[in-house]
Amino acid sequence: MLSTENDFPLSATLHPLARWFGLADFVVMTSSPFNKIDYKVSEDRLKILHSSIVMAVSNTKCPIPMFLQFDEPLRQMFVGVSEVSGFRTLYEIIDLQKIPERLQTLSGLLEIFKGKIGVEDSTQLIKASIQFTIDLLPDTIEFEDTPEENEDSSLTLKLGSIPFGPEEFNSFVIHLFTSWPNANADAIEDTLLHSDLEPLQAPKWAAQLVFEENATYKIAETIKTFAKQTHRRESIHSFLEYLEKEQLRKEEKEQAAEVLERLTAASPRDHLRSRLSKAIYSRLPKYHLPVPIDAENLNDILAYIFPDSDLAKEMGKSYLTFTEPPDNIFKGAKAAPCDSLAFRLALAVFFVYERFGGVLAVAYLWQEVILELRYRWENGLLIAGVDGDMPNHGTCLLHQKLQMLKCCIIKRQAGSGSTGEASPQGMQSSSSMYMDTQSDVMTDDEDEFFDCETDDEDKPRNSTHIAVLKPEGRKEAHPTLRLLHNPEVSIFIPVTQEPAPMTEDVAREHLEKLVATEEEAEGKANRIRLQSVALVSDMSAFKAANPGCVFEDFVRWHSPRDWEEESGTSRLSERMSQAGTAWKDAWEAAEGKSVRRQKRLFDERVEAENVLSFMDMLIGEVFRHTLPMLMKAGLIRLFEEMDSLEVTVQHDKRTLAKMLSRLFSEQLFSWTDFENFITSLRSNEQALCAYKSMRRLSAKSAALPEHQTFTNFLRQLVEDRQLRAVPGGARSPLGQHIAVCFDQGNQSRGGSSSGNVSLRAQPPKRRLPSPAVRQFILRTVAPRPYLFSRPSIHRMFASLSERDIRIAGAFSEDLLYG
Amino acid sequence: MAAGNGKWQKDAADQNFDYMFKLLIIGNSSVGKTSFLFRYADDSFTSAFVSTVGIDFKVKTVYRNDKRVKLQIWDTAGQERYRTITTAYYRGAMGFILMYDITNEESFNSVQDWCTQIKTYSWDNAQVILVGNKCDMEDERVISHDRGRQLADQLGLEFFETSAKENINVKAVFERLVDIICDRMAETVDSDPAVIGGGAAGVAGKAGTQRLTAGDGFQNKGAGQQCQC
Repeated sequence: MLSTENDFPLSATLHPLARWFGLADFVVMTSSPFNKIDYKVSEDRLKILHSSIVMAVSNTKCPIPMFLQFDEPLRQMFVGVSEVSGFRTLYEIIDLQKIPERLQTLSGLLEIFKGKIGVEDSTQLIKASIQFTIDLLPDTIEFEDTPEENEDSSLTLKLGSIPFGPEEFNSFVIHLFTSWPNANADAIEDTLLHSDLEPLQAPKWAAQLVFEENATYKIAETIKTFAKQTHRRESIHSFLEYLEKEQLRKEEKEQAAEVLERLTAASPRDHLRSRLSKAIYSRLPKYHLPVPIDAENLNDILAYIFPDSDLAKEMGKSYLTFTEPPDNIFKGAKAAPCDSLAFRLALAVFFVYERFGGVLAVAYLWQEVILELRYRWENGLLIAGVDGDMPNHGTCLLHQKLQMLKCCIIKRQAGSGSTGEASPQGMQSSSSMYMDTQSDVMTDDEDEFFDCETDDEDKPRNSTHIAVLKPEGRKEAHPTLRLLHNPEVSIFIPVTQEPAPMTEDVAREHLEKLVATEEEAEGKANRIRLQSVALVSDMSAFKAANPGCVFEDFVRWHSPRDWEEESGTSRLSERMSQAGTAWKDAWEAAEGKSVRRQKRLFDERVEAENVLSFMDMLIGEVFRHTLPMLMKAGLIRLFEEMDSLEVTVQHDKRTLAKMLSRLFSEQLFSWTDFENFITSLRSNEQALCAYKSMRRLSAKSAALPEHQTFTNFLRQLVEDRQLRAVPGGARSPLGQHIAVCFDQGNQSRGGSSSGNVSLRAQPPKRRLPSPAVRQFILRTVAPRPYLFSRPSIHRMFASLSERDIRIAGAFSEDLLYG
Repeated sequence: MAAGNGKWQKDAADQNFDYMFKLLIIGNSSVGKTSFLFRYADDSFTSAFVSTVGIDFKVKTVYRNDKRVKLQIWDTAGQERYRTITTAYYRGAMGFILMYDITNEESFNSVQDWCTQIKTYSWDNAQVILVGNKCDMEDERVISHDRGRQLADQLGLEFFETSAKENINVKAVFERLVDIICDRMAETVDSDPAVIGGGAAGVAGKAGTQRLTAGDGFQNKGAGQQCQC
């Protein structure tokens, strides 16, 4: 009990008895559902219990203190006793909600202590260990100092960005522990009038950063709020209907004719609206539409989403953008590139949700987006921000669907190009104007496919051959192969239908269909039937392009390895020559038809409608399908902060990116994993925020020497969140920095900016926030109960906060000479 | 995985397996992919399997560390014209067997291309084994064992020479592939068990998971709209 080593332990997990009495071993009897001890025992019963324990301890000579807990567990009330070599120590606790004036100071406490021991004279040396805990709130200070800056950077949400920072101030606190270890209690004056206990003079300082457990941070909250909306089951239409009803209700008083006009204008939803924009669009608000987003803002958002639209060009505004981080760190994550339409959609949905009143506004925006997409499709205009020329299964489904729409638009362009323009050259140039992002190969294919009436071209060369039937749909002559039964005629490679691009959901359905068939013989035939469309199409086209051809000719082109040449003779491979195989059957069934006359494998009209009806989703799905991009944006935002601050955070970029990949690269989405992701992200954001505000704060003392030491110290506080001693206490350079930065005095700015603060001189009058908790430990060795008793150990612990005082006393008495 | 987890999870309940791996056999036309698969799944061989149209599959359940692993092995058509179609199914595969024919130079030369296809279309963790098939036909061999090995090293793949006809190394290839998939899983699982659930298309009955991505939005939509009427 006399050891000062364990004074004021900080670990919050420590049992309160250990903290109050400095005990290492003790036994506590407490109530539990199993032993049915009622906390609310009467005082009499408590006394009986207590004396039983005293008896027990005395009989067993147990050196370990025994405690009895009583009253509400929250009050943490105990009584206890121990007996060692003829001394009995009684442990008692007082807990008062109102603090009597005389107990508020060391002198008052000292008086009680002395009274309890029964030693009036001050011959006995009483030692006191004192610790004041000062809560420093850097957030608050920072906020007060720079209100404009904060307002500017964090309070207004910008389109195309993700906010970063704590959602409220005081998201963390620095406990500054200032202590006076083992001082002579009588030498310290601490009364209501004057106190020697000035934290700025305390010999020992230590600090610890503690985060507010429930504090929220913007990136993490943004993603969480967004994800919560994925459960909503309303359709876009239900919101729009609601809007229209509201509108009707408002206008009932107005003229019937006007209502009619408005209805006809609004319900077919003029497709050209967003493109032709201002002129037509600005008419709308005149009707006092209860629209969630006013025209100006809506135009702004649409221009952001569709930067290639006339509207955007007209407005000529530039928006915030995200840049893909280096090293392809998000390669595995099924999201969409930073400059993609899907990505911008996610940010726009988030923006609209936050700024314009939630899901209603999102539904409204989404409807506009669908209209624009439909407009693009119907007019064969490509969409900026959709890469590739087929759905990339490594991206999210929304992006894949948009890629699919792009395929359809390209196909449409090619189609209308060939009918509109007579010459292939003309078409080529007109299409390449639109198709800036796609590969040349694709362009060529499409041209050929729709345009290819190759007869004209071929005739000059063909005229030497005798064509039995008029060949159709030729692409080019095969460089080497000649027809088996007509060796003078080249085999012509037909124009073929390209396999239809597939989004992952379609591919999956297809596989499911295959898996659903029986595995063996019968199923196999079914599976072949399901997949032979492409083969039959190729065969038809081949037959049409090569009149008089035979199956062998086809195999030689389509599957050359199945044509075996051996010592002069050549034949079909064994597997191809069997009768009744799928290949032979398909060949028999295939009619000679060029692809122009074939049923299309890929019907862009059907597919485009599919995409558009996919886009017409439930409101929850809007959030669900854009979530991957929003999360990616959140991470990129976090990474930016990580790059700009040289503080080590718990999770590195790669780990976070991996977590994101894991969430979205597979089909099974786990909310548990999602929570883990958010927790990790939040922990980083938390540290970054704390460090950021600390760094800003530390600028105040930039003029003092050893500023680097100070910033290092702050960084360490953030990084390991452990208690860190301030070597040299208040008078050390480090202490000076802290004093300056957390100074509550009026002249703080003047003091630090003058830069003449000398360490030797009396420090300028500063004032730290007043201590939140003051703790005292008084201890002495004195005879008790009588002067002739053997001296024994006494200890009293007192903890004062603004709300209450708790005193824990352990007083011993000599049993032999007592 | 590209292939219907919803369904596979149901299977899991019905059919008692702990993991399900989707494997893909790819390579040029007539290098022996179908024969190889039939040898493994049915222990049979004929030189005249019908040339695969599109893709086809077989199922085999194996035991590994007391766990039942159901292998859904997809066999693909090797013809040039089928390349684009088959790549659409790469995404869900956890393992690839990339096959060439040791008696055919061209099939060996295509290995690099196939490898690029895997990199482009499959997911990052997919494991690949390079297999030189038809090693029973020593007389007609044009690709030496060393060349195969060298290429495998260069591409960072494991390598086997096999014969579906003589049943050489067929089982070994599959076992090795399952092993490296499991190893890879164990690596990632340390930090997060969910990866099995995701990547391997489902630890049976994994709690707390739900389909969020993928196309179920598409399926729900009809119902949702009806409610709104």
